[in-house]
Amino acid sequence: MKLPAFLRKRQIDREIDNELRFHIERRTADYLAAGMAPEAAAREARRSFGNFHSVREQCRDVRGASFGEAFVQDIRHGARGLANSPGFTTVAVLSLALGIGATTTVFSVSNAALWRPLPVRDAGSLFSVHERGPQGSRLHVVSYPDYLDYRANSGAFADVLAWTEADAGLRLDGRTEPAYGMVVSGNYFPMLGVTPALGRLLTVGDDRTPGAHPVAVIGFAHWQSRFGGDAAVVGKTLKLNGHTFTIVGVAPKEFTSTYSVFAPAFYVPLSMQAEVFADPERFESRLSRYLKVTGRLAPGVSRGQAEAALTVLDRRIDAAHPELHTEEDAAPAPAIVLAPVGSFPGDIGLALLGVAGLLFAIVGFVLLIGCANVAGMMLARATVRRHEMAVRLVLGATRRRLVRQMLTESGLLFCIAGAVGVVLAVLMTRGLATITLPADVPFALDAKIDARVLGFSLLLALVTGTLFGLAPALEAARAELGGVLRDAPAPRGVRRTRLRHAFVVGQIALTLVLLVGAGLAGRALRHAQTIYPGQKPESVWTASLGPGRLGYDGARARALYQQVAERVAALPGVESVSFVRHLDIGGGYSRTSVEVEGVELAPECGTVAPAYFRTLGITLLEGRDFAATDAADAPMVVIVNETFARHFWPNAGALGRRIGFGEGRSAEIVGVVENGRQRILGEKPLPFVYVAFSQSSNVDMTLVWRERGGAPAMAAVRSAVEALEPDLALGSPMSLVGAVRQATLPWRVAGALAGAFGVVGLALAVLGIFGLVSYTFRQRTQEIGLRVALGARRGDVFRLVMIQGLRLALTGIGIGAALAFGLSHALTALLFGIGAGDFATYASVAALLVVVTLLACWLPARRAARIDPMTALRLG
Amino acid sequence: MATTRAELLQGTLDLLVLKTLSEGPLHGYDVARRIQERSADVLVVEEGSLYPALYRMEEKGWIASEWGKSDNNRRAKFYSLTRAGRKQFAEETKVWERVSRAIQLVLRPA
Repeated sequence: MKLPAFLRKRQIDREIDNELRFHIERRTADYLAAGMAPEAAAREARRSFGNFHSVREQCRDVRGASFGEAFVQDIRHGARGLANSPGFTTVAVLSLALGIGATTTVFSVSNAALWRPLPVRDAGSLFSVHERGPQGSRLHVVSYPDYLDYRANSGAFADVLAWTEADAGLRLDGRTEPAYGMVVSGNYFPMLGVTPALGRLLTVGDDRTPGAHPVAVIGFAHWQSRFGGDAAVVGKTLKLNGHTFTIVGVAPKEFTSTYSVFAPAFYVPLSMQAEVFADPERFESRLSRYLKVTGRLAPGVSRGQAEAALTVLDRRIDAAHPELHTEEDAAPAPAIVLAPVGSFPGDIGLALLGVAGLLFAIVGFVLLIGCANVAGMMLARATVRRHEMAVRLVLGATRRRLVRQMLTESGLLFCIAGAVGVVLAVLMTRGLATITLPADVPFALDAKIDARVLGFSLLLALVTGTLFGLAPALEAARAELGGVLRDAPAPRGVRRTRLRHAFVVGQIALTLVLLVGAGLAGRALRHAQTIYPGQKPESVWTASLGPGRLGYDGARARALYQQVAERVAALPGVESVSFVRHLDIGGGYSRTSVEVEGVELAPECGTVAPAYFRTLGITLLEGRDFAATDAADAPMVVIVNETFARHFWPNAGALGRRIGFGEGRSAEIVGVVENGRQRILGEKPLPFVYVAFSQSSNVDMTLVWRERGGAPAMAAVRSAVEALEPDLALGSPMSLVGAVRQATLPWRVAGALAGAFGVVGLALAVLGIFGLVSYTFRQRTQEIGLRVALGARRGDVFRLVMIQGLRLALTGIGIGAALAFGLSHALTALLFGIGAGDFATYASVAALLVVVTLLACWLPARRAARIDPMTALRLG
Repeated sequence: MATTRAELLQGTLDLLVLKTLSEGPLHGYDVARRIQERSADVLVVEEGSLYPALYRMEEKGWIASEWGKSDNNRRAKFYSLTRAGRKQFAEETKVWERVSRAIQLVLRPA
């Protein structure tokens, strides 16, 4: 790049020299011919030519500008221009950098989750097996025998791997913790071409004989967090759900799984699945479908052919095993769809894209506000620099050249902002990495700034720089030659002002959208914080237990829970203790189909142990709680909530009534409890049925206990459980308040983001309004002076300025409100029952914007009102 | 003072160059010489100042240049009018005529 430009410059110089010398030589020759002495002729020729060097410089300026070096010149010029107004540059760079940084952060996160290619061998020929579902494609899961058929008979794949997630209690160094890992086929790592960070990975040899290969590979992140990155980990043993495994290696940092966001703690071979899942039937049964499959296309087989072959294979398997179908479920197996490895199936992919889209919308608004702000400021600068431009036109610069130079300047500005933005993005992604998601599944979002992300930011900076720099650049270059002497003709001034008005109105509108979003999210959040099922949630603690993984059946599990309850209740500081199937905050309780007095209903249903209501602080209104006497062989009893009871028996009398559970089973209502605020979208309490744990078939329950205050009992609870069953992990131990905080994390993050960016947008909009109003009134100084001279009172002038600002604000508020209303309607589902048209939020945000606008206008208005007519008129 | 002259010459010099080139391609020296001859040596410009003007007009696309052989067989750069140049010439001529008519009107004794 450098050398050719340098050569061209040399060539241009040479040509100019040649041309000018030719002129002088010809002139000399003419003088000689006219009879002058040679020396006199040469002297005279040089004299009449004028200053040779100056002419050459001027020529070079014109010529040089059309080549590559003009670019360097423009950059130098632009840099000087920016350095000359540090205030403008700082504000502009900051307002843009925030937007670019935020957008880059969102992009890098989406990139990590959705778009970055997997670090596996020849990913192009690897396809995951999905099926066509009612809402787009979804993961196709198969049984272990099905998987063997896929490997043996499909013809579509050269090789097929299978995997599934495994939820386990991982016991290491005398401590058991819940861990989320993967059970994979022996060819999993070889097929993906992954190399270990340490030791070895699993091989086909580890997947030969069921139960005979107790080896495990540790995920890199888990190796770092639980083992401190200790190289001596290879050869150590750990226990998974009570079974001992030997660690043979550590997976590499860059590879987690075929979904890069899912970072398993461990990988064990499929040959050990009976141990990990405590389910020996998995090797034989075609009924339990849980394996996800990914295959490498056989040479010469197209994706479409493979899809057809697999669909046929599935239907053949179905036909060969009529026991897989009940009479009602006679639908043929769904069609197979192959998706590039790592891509999410349609239903999940759409949801993720939706989230990404929402985030992009928020940061896009910030970016737009920043851009509008900077464009407005540049427009004002362009006006100030009209004089400079006119002079340069006179000196021989073309308009195109001026536009290009202005664009270079704005491009430079946006690129600097882009660089600062990338730095901000690095900080923001680091901050994001410290947030733990409220899920048991280990997410690893490696949102690093790679080449793709950098390219994105650069492109973003350049595109926005060009788009928003164009209007000011065109305005600047429109300078008239006459502009040196006179002011630009009036109509252009009006047009320019109108453009700036548009920018300010746009800013106010976008700011309103952000602030309304933040307001709605905040209100929804406050509402969500009150969804505790009972009273005094800060004293209630929970932890999930999963003895099912250790092979416990119902009877053994009930005995274990009985012992756990006794031990925990005996702890000092524990007031009461109970169990519940799922402590789902924000709904998601299972529903069950019941029949009451001949009417069918699908209320939500929870399985709870005795003392649950007391523990959570839910009042028993009538009847009794579950008791130890409600055993598995005793008559079935249920407790219903108020809504359920009123629904069927408005005038009380629900006690003693019976509810049908199908298959001839029915239960007696023995109690009525108050409606808990169980649901986040709790516009209305829903009917709820509680079933006794002792009469259910559940094995995995969540322990809940209420403390009296004082030191937390968590550690003691952990040892109590460990003493009873060392391999049982305590899952997600936390207080009820913490559980609610976790459940509402997405809304808290969204609210905080919208709020923070709303404030940034507000600050930018204030700057924009202030700049515009001061600027237009500086332009109108003469007119105002004239008005004052003609008898206008200062109050009138003040009002004039304020009204102009207010008009802009109101226009922006109107547009923004319409925009926000439309957008939030699309997002109502996220708002916990706060209406999208929540008037209070809109009104307060609008009022805030009006106040802020008036403040921004106040200073320029006061200045305008103080204009001394004599000075103002003399200025003209 | 100097700038005033340059400004005054700005439009005029362009017009003179365009007029000269409208009769056919010439190199810079001949352009200068012809302007001097035509104006009966009244418009004596510093000859060098012609070149930045030529470069600028080329940049604007009014004229094009090409290296060729001069009448005494030396390499010289020849300028010719482009279509845009012809249009510009017509326009500037009109403007000039209007301005000079106006000036004459003003100067005519009352």
